[in-house]
Amino acid sequence: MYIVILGAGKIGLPITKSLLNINHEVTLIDHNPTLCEKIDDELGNITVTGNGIDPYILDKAGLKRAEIFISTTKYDHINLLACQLVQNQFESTQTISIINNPQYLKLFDILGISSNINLTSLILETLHKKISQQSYLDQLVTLPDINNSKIIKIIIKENLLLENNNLSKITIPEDSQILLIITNEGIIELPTDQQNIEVGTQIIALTTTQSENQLIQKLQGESHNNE
Amino acid sequence: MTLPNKTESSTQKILIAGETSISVNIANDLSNSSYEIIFVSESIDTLQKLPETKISEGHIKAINTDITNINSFEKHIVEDVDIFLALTNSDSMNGFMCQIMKHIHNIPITVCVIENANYLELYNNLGIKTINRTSLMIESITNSLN
Repeated sequence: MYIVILGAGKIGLPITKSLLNINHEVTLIDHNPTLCEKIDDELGNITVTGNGIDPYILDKAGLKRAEIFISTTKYDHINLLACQLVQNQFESTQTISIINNPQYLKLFDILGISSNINLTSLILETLHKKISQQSYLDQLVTLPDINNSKIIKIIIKENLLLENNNLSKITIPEDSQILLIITNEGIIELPTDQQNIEVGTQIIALTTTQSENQLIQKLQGESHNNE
Repeated sequence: MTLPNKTESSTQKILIAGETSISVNIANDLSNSSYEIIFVSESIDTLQKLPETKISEGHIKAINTDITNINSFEKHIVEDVDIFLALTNSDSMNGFMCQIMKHIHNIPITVCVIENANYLELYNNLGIKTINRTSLMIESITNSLN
């Protein structure tokens, strides 16, 4: 199958490598000539350098014979426009778009982007599979509005508010949930009431745009610094 | 493109998203024509370029916000808006804003300024009215030469 991918970033490049490994033909479009050169050196001559929302570049990448176009940039408005250009000019090509911000899911659906991938949903789905045997999942799936939810990582700093270094001492916002704890040793653990939290511990949490800051402040105090 | 005429019985409310001096000038001109103007921008600097008298007299309402942020956007801003004008410097962002305004906030007429003529057909197919500033400039230069 011939597939064209836009964006050689953290998502586009691994997808390209995976597809090449299972013998698909792939062309990767990116605006960064240095990056494209490096990828060509590693994977063969598979890149087209240029602006992925320029019809000329899409044509040059061989969209006429592509079965699938995947837009993977970190900008949702670029992903949308790229998919719409492809749908408009190359009607037989299926379009798939990464949606970085879940608030745009509805818009992409309304506009008929033939398929889309929401990162937050994907992570949640993976978590669901990984911990499906845990009763903890029951709490996770009750979160009401996925479109308004986001996953954040909080690194515990020195001036943390965790009295006795224990998660049970903290009251977090009702619409937020601590999903995973990554210890200083890099061990991934499910949270428990007696969880020991040290400086440097990473907390992966599901929250909403409204409660994000409140959650960070609860875990880190006023000098919050999330990633 | 000609904007619908304002009549005494139906005031046309125009929402403008801008970040350039041109967008400020357009807002100013349209407010002279008695349209009700709401000007939104993420840039405080841009908002400060709007004429103070027009703001104090209520002809232009200036709001500092990101209108592409659907979740936190205050819905009352788009209530009863008849026309949305996307006047940023980015063709892709202008088109994106128009599609949010059209499909999420149900504004009936959306207009975006574009520089790249390649997007004309697509945006027209999507029901977005376009103003191609490159074509306007070429037309103006050609006319002045004649």
